[in-house]
Amino acid sequence: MNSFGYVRAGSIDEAVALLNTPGVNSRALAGGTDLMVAVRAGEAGSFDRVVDISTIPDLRGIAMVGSRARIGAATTFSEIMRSGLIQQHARFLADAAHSVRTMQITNMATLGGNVANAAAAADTPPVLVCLDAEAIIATPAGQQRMPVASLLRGHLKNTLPAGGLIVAFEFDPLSVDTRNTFLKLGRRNALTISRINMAATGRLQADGHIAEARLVAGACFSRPRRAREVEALLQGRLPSAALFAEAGQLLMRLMVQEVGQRWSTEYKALALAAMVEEALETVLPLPANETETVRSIGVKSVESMR
Amino acid sequence: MNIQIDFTLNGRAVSIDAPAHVTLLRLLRDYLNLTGTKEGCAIGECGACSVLLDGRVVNSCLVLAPQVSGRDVMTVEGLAPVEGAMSDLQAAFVKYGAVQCGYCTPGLVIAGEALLRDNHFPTRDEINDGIAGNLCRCTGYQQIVDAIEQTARQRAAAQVKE
Repeated sequence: MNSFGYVRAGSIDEAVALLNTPGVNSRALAGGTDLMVAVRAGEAGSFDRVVDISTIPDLRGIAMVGSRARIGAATTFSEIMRSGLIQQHARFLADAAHSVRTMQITNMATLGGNVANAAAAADTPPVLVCLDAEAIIATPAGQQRMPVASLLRGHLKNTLPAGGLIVAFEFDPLSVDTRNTFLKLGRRNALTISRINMAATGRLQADGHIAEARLVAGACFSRPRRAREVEALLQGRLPSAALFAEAGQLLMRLMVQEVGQRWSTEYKALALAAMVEEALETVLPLPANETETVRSIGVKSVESMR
Repeated sequence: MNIQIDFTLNGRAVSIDAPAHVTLLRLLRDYLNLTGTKEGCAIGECGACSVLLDGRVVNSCLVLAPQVSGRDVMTVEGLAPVEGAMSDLQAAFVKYGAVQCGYCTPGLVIAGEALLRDNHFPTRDEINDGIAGNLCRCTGYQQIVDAIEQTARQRAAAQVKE
């Protein structure tokens, strides 16, 4: 392990100043659940010191700010799981946090860290992208806003402005008639890395047609993004098993198109299609006469994180 | 680069000088000679190094030592009400055969304690969830779940008596 110093920031302004001290290569430390692993593996690159941002009061907490829900970047997964506000307005974010499944990690890991680390298999970014969440970023030149979707560039790569620090995330709470779900497929239930995860929301019109559907698959594309092609296919249609199967096939083709055939594709493509069907059945309930329809592809190990 | 770290450890104030880049796990074992906390995987997957930080269970291998400045840490050594004795949960681990090789035990006792402080009446499923971050390759977990479940019942019964 390389040697480095430690400094604790008391405020956002102090943290930004410390992270941008000329001549000192600094790294932000929040929960440490990714950084400490990378440091041990020698993958963290060299830095002179860490700036501990985990105890800055303004970086923590979950609240409504006007009509928007705001989550401080150093808010832990456990705090998100326990938040009544999140349970009410974006339950699938709490489900994604819970899907990590171990208290030792969820008590430390932060939402800002999960986004900034930008691992392809991260569990919360697909949900934030599905919510069209914005990140608020503090830089030496002042604060700016960026959609989470454009903050993620690829595996372990973000587009944060130089010296920038994610301060908070904001999103519009889901309307009461919007359903949401988070699905995760891993190799076991306890502490596991997502092979595929998925965030979805859906809302039906009074006449049963699909008013809006959003779908984001994680660990499938170069970065989590809304599957607009699938969303467009669903828009205005009546929910049906056949339509959801078509949606699954479409996303499967898009994944293979974008990332190509890999050793895992034969398995992963089928699993992805099945997860799309399961997610859509949850957020866009089928009419009563359709509920007995058997899914075209059954994957028993897909665990709903309800 | 050394740094002075002042924190509360098992109820006592501690002040220690250590390199800023060591983990809490190294600080406990190598600088404070508290070797009850074990190093297993050292990447946050096995839970052998679990300690309570401000009452919440964390992997001490993923916590940087200076991060605990001004905070409260409890290790397996701090659970017993008097030195040399065992806590009720530790005694239950012995009674229900939840200890075989013993390497995972300190971490599992800590995780179990964290769970019981948070949830006085956990179901077996909730206990499984509470110890999901701890690996045990000997017992098959059932005896561990038994020990935590029985401790919850004992504590509830003791509450009623009071």
